[in-house]
Amino acid sequence: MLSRRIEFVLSASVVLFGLFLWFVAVPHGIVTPSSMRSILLSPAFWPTILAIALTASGILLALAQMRRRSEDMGEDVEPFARSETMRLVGFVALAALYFEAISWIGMVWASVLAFALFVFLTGAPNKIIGLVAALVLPILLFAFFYHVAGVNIPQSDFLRLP
Amino acid sequence: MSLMDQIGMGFALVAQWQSVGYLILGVTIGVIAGAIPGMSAVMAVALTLPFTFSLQPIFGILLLLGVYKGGVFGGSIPAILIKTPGTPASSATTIDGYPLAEKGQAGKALDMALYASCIADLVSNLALILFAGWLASFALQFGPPEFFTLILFSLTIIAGVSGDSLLKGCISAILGLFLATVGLDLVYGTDRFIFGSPDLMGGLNFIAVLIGLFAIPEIFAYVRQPKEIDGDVRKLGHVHLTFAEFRRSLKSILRGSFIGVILGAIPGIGAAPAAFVSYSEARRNSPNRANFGKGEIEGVAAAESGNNGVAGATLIPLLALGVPGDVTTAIIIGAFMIHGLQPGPMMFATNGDMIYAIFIGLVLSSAILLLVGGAAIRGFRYIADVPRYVLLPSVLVLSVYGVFAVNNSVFDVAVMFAVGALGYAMLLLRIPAAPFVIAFILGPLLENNFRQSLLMSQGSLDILARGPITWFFWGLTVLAIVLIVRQTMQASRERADLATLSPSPSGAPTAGRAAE
Amino acid sequence: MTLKSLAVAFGLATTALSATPVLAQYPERPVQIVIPYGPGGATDLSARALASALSSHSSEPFVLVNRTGAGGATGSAAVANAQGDGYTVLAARVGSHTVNPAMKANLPYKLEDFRFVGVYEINPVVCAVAADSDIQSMDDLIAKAKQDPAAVRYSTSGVGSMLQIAAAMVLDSFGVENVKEVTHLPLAGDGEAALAVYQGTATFICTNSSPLASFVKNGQLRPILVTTSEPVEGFDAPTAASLGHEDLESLVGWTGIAGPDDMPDEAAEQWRSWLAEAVKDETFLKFMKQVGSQVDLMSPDESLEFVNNQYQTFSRLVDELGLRVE
Repeated sequence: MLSRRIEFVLSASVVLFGLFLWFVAVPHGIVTPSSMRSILLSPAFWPTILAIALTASGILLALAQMRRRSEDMGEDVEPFARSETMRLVGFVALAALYFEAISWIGMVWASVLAFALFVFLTGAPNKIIGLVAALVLPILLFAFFYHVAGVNIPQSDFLRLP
Repeated sequence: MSLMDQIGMGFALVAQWQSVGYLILGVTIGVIAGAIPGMSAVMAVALTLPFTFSLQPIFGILLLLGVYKGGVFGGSIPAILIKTPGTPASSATTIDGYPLAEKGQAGKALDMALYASCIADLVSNLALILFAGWLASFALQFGPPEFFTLILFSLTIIAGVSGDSLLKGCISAILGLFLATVGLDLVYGTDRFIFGSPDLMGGLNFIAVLIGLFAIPEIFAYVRQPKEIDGDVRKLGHVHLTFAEFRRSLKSILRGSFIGVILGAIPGIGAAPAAFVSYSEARRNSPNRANFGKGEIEGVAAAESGNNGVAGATLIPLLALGVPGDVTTAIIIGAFMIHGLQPGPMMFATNGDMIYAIFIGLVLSSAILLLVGGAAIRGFRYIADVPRYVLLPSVLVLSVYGVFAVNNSVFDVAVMFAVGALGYAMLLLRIPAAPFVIAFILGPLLENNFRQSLLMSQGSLDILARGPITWFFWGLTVLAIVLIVRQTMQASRERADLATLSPSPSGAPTAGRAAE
Repeated sequence: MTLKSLAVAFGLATTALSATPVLAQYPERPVQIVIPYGPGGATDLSARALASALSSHSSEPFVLVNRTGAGGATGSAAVANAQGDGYTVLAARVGSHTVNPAMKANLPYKLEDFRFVGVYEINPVVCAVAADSDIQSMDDLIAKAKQDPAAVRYSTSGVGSMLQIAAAMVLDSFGVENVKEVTHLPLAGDGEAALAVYQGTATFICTNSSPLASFVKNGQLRPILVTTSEPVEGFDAPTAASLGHEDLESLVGWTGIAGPDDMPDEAAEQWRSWLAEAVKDETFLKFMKQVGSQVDLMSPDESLEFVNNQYQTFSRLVDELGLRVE
């Protein structure tokens, strides 16, 4: 259980998202053929039901909160410290960079880079071990996936491994 | 040729040292492949197939069966150790296996996974040998309407894995169902949420969603607070399973094995629903219900027995009728046919020695799994000792490689990261991830079978109650819903009573909270 | 330690297969063959058998890549958009290259986006019903379909699959007027589609011989038509021509190798000679025979003509019957 305020914001977002799916995403995101045997067979039938169910769940969640006694408070979310937020933002940037780097320098070197950045981002107690692992693991994985499992791990012309 | 002659000749085939050797090789390949996220039993079997062409038929088939069996168990290793289920089936194992590993009891969880797997495998093999004909003809009664009601019933297990709040569990499940609708429409082939991207046409990849939902949030949480788990607790990673714990879980193992056998014999279901149904049944019947999801050893036992119970049973339609029950057995049927063997009812007459050799080999494979799996656990257990500042970035890199390997698609890596972010948000908001996964796996089955039923009946809903099997599952579904509603009401009443008695929230009994 | 020994075992196997004399400059590095369908399927097995037959003729190994999704469209689109350096080729299939383009207007690729180097295998199409059904012949089936079209169901592996167009084309050729009224039952794969006929969920199926072979041998399905001019071994059914429907002879499955349209000549030439070698390989021929395929290598021009013809036929049919996906 989270604090009432967070639970209310959550249920409101669920309701809004449900309505968005119902009235915007389903009608625009799904192509329905002009002639169908039965409305039950429409490609949009099932997603519409889900959107309605999601909206209803959000409303029920809000009602359940109203019935909850104010003193019945569970543990709250630990508030984010500034450094924690910074690190999380850093990680999202790292993930985006990792993904992009796969097409620039291939998966192996992108992984080496991402691993090394991760070691610095989280301030590993022993950076030498971290960096050695960053170099060794992606190459070992490449050897396994490419040479044993026959998976074509993407590489670029930058330092192509055999 | 009499039956005894055939069994004798079957023995002679298996008793060659090569047979045992290929079986061991197969199980080893399977366990390793299963333990690598992104490599599934199907892929391992498909990759091994070309090597069997030049072998004698019995060696080739035992090799493939070994790979298959090993692969099904192997998935539990990363599920427990690094919360990265290698296969959809092992995501049920993650629910209790990873919390155990966090408490430093990875060794115990792995032991349990192995014993549960081997017992379930043995039960499944014996069921195949003794009841193949009967189970196969039962399984063939399952058309789309029967499937629909079965899947509908399976969805009620969501209540069992919702944790504190049933409503949040439902929201999680609906999101999972919704995400599963992305792709080309089954009946009309039109676009659903594709927005012109060829990568979205085939829908979102299973494994990418699974790993995104389980492994990536763990990494987020570590980035937020990069701390080692208490060193002393970690050292307990080498705790073994006690006999008392094993005996306590035996009932769940046997129940899970039977669930696995029944669901495995029905073509087209697969191991994941069996693992979840077994898990939810074990939770419902256990005195330790409140501890499920927080590191209950019985939960690991139930999940693993459910998914391994399927392994022998999928061979039931294959050997009894010549019908492949899933993709893996479809590949194995290919191996039979390359050697000019035709699985099916006629094979008992034409190649009886072969059938009995396979039976004997299967029983042997359960024992081999125990040995090879035991060795694998001893090797992989050290992963639990790796410091987290190396382990978590390794999981990140491994997940990227593994998700890519499933369908050779860099796009899937993006899906994994996106779902990972969603998973972390759900973690913070205490929305459970397990219902999402179950719904994502079962959603397409539910919708497709519903629409296929209506196509069959030309739009009439009557077909959904067309025979005893559908009535049976409708009954079970109603019963399950009644039980869930009653438990929820009871729990909230209890909590309300307790809240008036003591203002402290910690006074609420955990049993009541977990059941909600 | 087990991992290492495994790697050694596999390593030995691969080096044994790829120890060969060096040919021309192409290929300098491994060649990737994209299979637009899942592991274990007909296309997958065919491409893997081809690759192992080729490996003794190439200095570099072949890497097989399954890129599944959307009835072959995802993998095909990936190759159409790949670099035209000759290091990415596609195992093109009837479903991905003639049926899908004919049925789907908004496909992310066109036939012109590919350079065909050779169609190397042809699979006959067989129509079958359950062995316990009262349908004994095509005539019985057609009579039923004319009487109550919606009650006759054909199972397929999805919209835009070869199975769908095969059933529609057969019904149309035999004079069923409202083909669109006959119920199309899409399932997850061709194995499941065949199983549905055996279970009685569907009335009939028309597909390649390989997924049906096991059912027919066990006496579970009854073949009632084969579309090739010659009878198919193991399938005791009349040919389309013997029933006076020569037009159905163009209804066959096939697999071929195609690169992106800007694939260099050198690579295309190399592939042509590779394919010419592969179709002489004993093991390859034996394997293809087992799965019911006829190995028949067409030159690039013949391949293109063959594929285009089939595409035209299917397009016309799709327009006539109103099967196009909106």
